[in-house]
Amino acid sequence: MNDETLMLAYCKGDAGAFESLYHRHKGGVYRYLKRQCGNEATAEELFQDVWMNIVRARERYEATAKFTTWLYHIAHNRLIDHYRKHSRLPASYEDEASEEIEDQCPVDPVGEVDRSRQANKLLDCIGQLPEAQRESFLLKEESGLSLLEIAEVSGTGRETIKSRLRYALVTLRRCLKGLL
Amino acid sequence: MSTENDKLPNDKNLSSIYKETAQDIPAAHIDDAIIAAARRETASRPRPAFSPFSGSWRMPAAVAAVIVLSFSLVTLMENDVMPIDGLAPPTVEEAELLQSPAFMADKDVTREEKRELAKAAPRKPAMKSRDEVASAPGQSLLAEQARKRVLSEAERKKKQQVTAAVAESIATPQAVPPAAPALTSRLLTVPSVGLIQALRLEGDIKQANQVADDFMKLHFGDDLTTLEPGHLKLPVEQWTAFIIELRELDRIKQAERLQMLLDQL
Repeated sequence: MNDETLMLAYCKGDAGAFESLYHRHKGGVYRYLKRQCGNEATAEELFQDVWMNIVRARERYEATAKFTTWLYHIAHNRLIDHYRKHSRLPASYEDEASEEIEDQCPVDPVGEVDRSRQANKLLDCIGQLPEAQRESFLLKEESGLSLLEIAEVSGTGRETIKSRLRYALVTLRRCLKGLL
Repeated sequence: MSTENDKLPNDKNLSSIYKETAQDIPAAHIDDAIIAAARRETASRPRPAFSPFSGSWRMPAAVAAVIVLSFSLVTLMENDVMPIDGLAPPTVEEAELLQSPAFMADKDVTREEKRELAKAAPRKPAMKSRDEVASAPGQSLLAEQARKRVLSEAERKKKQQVTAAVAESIATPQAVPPAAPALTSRLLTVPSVGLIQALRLEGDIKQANQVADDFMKLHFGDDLTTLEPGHLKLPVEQWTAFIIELRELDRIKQAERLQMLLDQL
């Protein structure tokens, strides 16, 4: 059963449908929030808020909207609210990178090196990305949304998302290159 | 439709490494709290608050109320009791319909009845045309109901007046009530001892004899010779009064024959 059908079933009172949806998407949303705000306690608070918003706003849900787009849109807005509440909306959300990027340094194929070490290093590198680039990368990896859907969730243009993602990938490759 | 321009910048190797971090999930107590909250919401508000008739008692209750009210209204209209001694004035709608061309063209209603009904109905300042009456939905049914109601009341009143007139003529023969033309014609169609007496006292002997003949035909048939005591269905007092009238009209043989039968009772 797809996400939209489950959400409609929940709108009609089927709590089991919500449980299925929750287990399907809890990991992606949680990691998106945790890696964006960099604090586990804050991430848990935001995570609960996001899902409670889903519960309370279920009557406004329309099947024409993709559930994951709606879910991550709520998560994105909650995150922006969190930034604004702490008076620190990251500048990366407003300033677009203008420098030319070099996209010619692919990461070496992993073979003999420990994957978990690479994964931990990657998380460190992700943490060092500007928030807007990090968000684009996390949305791409966690939500499975398309370019247009990520642009919709983020409230920005398609080309901006592409640009942010290119910068993020180049930065991450550079960051991991020393390890590899 | 996806184009090259819509493709996400991607690095499969980085994505592969990133997937190693997917074990990072929320704690179990957070799962429990969120799912419990979701269940509470559906339990407390299974339906949207703005849906007035969804699965509740309100729709059947509303339908039942409409049916009961409609039935009560129809019953009240049908059982509407009017005073015996007078024709209840028709309602404005009934009056309008009774005066309408469609009603006047109704062959089931006699001309005399129409005239009396029209008299009973108050005049309207403006009447609707035939087309307006015919095209108005529900008007024909309303007209039929009004016609039946008013005609039954008129019939009841006439019977009452005839009965009263006959009774009075028997009691006081000299005082024949000044009946309306319609009432007189109706009286002449009902042969009775009182009417014979009234006509005789007025000096209309021919008419009195005619009514006496009708009276006998009504009760015995044409042949008095085959008359038997069992044929005398009326009270003895009425027969006695009739015998007196026969004698007054010089129909002695008939009077004696009747008296003989009466004596055998």
